[in-house]
Amino acid sequence: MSTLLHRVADAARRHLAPSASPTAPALLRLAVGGYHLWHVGKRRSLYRGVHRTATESFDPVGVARVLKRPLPPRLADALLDASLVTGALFTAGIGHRVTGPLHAALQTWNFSYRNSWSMVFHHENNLLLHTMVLGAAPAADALSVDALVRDRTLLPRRHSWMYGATPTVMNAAVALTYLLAGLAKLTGADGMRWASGASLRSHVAVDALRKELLGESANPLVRVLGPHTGLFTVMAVGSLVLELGAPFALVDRRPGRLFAVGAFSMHWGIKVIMRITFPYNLSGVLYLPLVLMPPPERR
Amino acid sequence: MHLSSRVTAVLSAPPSLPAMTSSASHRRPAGASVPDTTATRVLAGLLAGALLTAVALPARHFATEGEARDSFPFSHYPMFSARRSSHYRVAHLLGIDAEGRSRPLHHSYLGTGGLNAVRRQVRRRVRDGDGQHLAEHAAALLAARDRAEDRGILEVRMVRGRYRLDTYLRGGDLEDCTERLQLVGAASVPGRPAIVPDAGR
Repeated sequence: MSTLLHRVADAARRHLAPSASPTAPALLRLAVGGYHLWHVGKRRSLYRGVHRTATESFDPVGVARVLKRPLPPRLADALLDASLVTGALFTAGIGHRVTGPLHAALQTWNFSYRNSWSMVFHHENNLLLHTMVLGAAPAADALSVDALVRDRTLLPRRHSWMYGATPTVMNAAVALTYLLAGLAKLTGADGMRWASGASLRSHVAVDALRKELLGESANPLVRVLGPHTGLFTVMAVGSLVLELGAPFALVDRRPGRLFAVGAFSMHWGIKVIMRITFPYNLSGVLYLPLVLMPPPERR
Repeated sequence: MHLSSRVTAVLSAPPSLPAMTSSASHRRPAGASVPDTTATRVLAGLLAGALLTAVALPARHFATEGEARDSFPFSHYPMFSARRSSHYRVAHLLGIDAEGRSRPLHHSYLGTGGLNAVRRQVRRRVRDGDGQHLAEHAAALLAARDRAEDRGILEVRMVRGRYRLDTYLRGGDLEDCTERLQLVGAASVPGRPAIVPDAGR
């Protein structure tokens, strides 16, 4: 029995935390950090507008729940700008042991605060989870200023299980979020009937209708697809299979990449049909740890 | 060599070095910048475990009755899981032109933060009896912004509508889909002629 347990533990370690070079976490740091700079930089004026929303709309979530009333807008703006500075340091890999956790903490605060105004958006969750993992991991041991200073090269000759474990933890966090989204549908009011696609069809209709009524353009494709109820059954079953099967992405690199392609396609499908944008998913950066996962360590 | 196998090779193998003398060639590569000690391993395990537990913990809401409040970044991802009725209710703006025709106006006249954030804020404020104030504020903004596409609008109405989803999906226009329209506020656009009575819906 103990031999069997030992074998299972050894196989898990070789697959989930294989010894690897620091290149994978370094590439992930560059991609995730670069994405954050683009994402927040592009929306800076939108966020500054949110900081000035009427106080009665303030409904704090996450770490922002420590607040009883909103921050002075200029302080909220300063914290947002500070995260752009830590984001640049994080991406360049400067003082990572300090800037990594600091950047993750600032990002947690700013996104929680931004989501405290009447609506919780779900497109920043995985960006933040990825930053938390990279901020705590030795993700600046290559392709960074730290590496240049410490080892005088961008690609130092280092090898550790920590580099292999970093994408695994990122992937595990993402797989859990997809699993939760799938379980939420099946444990909701419709239960297993969600798979019929009727609920999904109504959600698509609501989304398109509200866009039209609030002055945005809805996708005309919605009305073309609308009468074909069978199509919505296929889409509902497909999304459930993908979401509930997300944990299998951790088993090996092949199912991981298959999941990445499936989820990436699903989000582009949602974008085309519903014009709902999950920018981090659509950028592909979310799925990069699945692609860059090092191979299992040999016995 | 495929791109994926090249990436794999770079990620798994230590960077290749030029030919070295026998003692140097057997030197093992350095570890991570963080020392690999028992304490490090325990701490890494604890941090990863804590993060994944926090991500999974909102699943407890699936076992509770009623709508649980969402959070960030640890969410139970309720999108697309709520039951939808055959109708949809929403509070929104209508702009009325000189001919009495109406059309929806952009949500940015109601607030900032994007469509969904504004929609939720407006729903709450209309429920609290703030409809007239919202209409007046939107009319003033419309006049100040003076967008070309909205120059024909003379009056702004804040309404609460109930719409038929299936009719909408089968191609019906907004008038066909409208089951009920409740006026909760109306204001003339400052600096533009007042609308003649009986015009508009």
